[in-house]
Amino acid sequence: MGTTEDRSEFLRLFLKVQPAVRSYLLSLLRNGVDADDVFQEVSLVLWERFGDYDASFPFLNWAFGIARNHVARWRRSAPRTRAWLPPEVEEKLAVTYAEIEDELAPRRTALRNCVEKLGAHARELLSLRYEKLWSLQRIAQARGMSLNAVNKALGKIRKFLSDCTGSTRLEEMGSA
Amino acid sequence: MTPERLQELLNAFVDDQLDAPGQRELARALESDEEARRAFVRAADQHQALRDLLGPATIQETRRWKPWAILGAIAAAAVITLSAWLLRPATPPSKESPVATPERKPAPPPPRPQPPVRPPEPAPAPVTRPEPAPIVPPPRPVPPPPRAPEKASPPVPPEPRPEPPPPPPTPAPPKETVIAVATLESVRGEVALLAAAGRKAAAAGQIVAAGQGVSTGGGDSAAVLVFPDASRVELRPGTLVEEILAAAGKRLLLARGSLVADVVKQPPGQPMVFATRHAEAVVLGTRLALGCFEGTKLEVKEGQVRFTRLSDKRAVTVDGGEYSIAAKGADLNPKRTTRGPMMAGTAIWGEDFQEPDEIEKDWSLKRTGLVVATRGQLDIDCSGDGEATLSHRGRFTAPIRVSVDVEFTQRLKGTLVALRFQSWRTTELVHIDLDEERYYLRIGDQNTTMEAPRRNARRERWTVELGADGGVQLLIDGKPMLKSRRPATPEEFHITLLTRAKDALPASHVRFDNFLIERVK
Repeated sequence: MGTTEDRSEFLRLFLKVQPAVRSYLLSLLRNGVDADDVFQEVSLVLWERFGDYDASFPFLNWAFGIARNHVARWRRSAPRTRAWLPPEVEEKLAVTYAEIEDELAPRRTALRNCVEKLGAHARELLSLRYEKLWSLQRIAQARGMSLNAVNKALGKIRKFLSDCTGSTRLEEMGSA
Repeated sequence: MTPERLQELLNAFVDDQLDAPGQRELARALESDEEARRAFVRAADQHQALRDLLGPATIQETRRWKPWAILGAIAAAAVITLSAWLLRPATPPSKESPVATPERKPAPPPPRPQPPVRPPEPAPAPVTRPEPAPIVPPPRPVPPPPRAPEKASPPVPPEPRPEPPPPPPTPAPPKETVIAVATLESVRGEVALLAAAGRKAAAAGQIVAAGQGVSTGGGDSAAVLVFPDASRVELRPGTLVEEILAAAGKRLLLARGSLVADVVKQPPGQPMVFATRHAEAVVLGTRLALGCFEGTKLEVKEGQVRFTRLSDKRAVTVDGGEYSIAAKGADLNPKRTTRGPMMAGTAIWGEDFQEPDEIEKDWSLKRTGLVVATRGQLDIDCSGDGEATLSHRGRFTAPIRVSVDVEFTQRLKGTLVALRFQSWRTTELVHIDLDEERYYLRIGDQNTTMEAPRRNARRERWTVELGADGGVQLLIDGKPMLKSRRPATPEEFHITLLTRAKDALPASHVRFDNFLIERVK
């Protein structure tokens, strides 16, 4: 990559696809920390190999391909990290990500506003889960709830957020 | 699969609660049902977005995604690359691939709406081990779930559970005789004293009366209780001791969290009892650690503890260097402790790299360019160029002996392997390094070296002794190799395992295992 235009173009494409790639890695690896680690590797390889990228094809597809290769490398370097999906399903998921990326992107943008619409207790539960990274068991003990109750509460919160981000997207589409 | 069942599986997936049958069930649905795949992608993407939005700013510097650091590196690399290009336009430098196999341009995808995402190349060949077989059984047809209608209006925000009502106003305490059972020797962070009248912030030096409890908050909150016989109990963060009694012996009711106790020899018939909802540990004199979470885990450092599971009253004796777990489905029989501070004998700390979650709590991993795995052993893939360090979060003072198994799968070409001690207060360093040719023992400016007798792939045990008199010795497989001296000032060290690679041999790995810190005379 030799020009400032290339660099700008890379950054533009990279910033656009990075949420989807991270999410895809999380889907394959299940563990967020592992997914973050692999993503760092993938990011650098995308940068280094950007000269090989053929702009007539979607950048996201190219990034997913590299991501899958790095997941394979990661599993070889960490033998206890077994694949939980067959390769053909991993590929189908990549296709689905690419197909609905236009839907996912506005949902991500709307998420912050939707979280702010949650009640205080729901926000606290989300904070324990995502900010403090507590397991469901630990949340249940700390809040004096059963594991099932925590499970259901988080499920309801996620459903609310999914509905909220979806409806925000629909509203935006309607106003566009 | 019904939409409700799919939703259950998706929630379990993002909360890391999906068991093996659930994984197989979800995998089958994802294989055969496009709507399930879309629901899965939405759920996973929302989970990732929540991690980004709410995730902690710094969990561990190195195991945390740092997008701007990457972008910064990319921008910096862009400048460097651009400069190199401008200086030498005719012959751009060839660079070795940072990955094991090249990644080429993707094959052209067919037109939408079904754009295939193909890997840009066939899966790379295994480097050291074969790819593990997928755990998913052959697919079975699954009927497609009915399509759920999308809601257009925002629903009412859920309220998972009401807060417990605030405690009633505290009445004036009645005048009564208070039996002091312990003193709070020290407190750190959020610590509260729990009495019938309510909950009050606790301070060091405060008396804990019979029947009262103590709780510690999150973060690094902690408290140390000292009993009149000098027995000490340290409450770790997030711990609730509901009640402390001192009738015939002492009794602590641990509701949640963990503690470490140094219990002096108790009078006959008056043991110290640690009780949880799962088990009771009866102690006559020992050092132990007790954790109460989904079950109760007892680790004994010295002496013996009688451990009784409450569900069936079965009891076992847990000796020093052993642990036992009282939990549903867990085997109560004691097992040898192989990591942490409760290993037997002179061990101060051991690490067998078997519990990744625990490793993350006790160690800090930093790496650039190298792929690191901490499962089963610390495995550093030196295929790329870069550096990886794993630093213990604890502080250790001489005299100590530190041992670790070190394995190289290839000749150490372009690779440096090191065990290092760094002082917390000063810049004092003790380096034990090995490259392709020599062992190095460096203390400050002093450097002592010895030629490595073997150059090829091998596994050896390094032992470093830091004596109280300042003597430092390196032994390889028990054989003394190098000696030196450091100032005999008392210092707290932190200990790091380091690997640095540049143009290492293909498929070369460095592995550390069975790390042990021992107290020596």
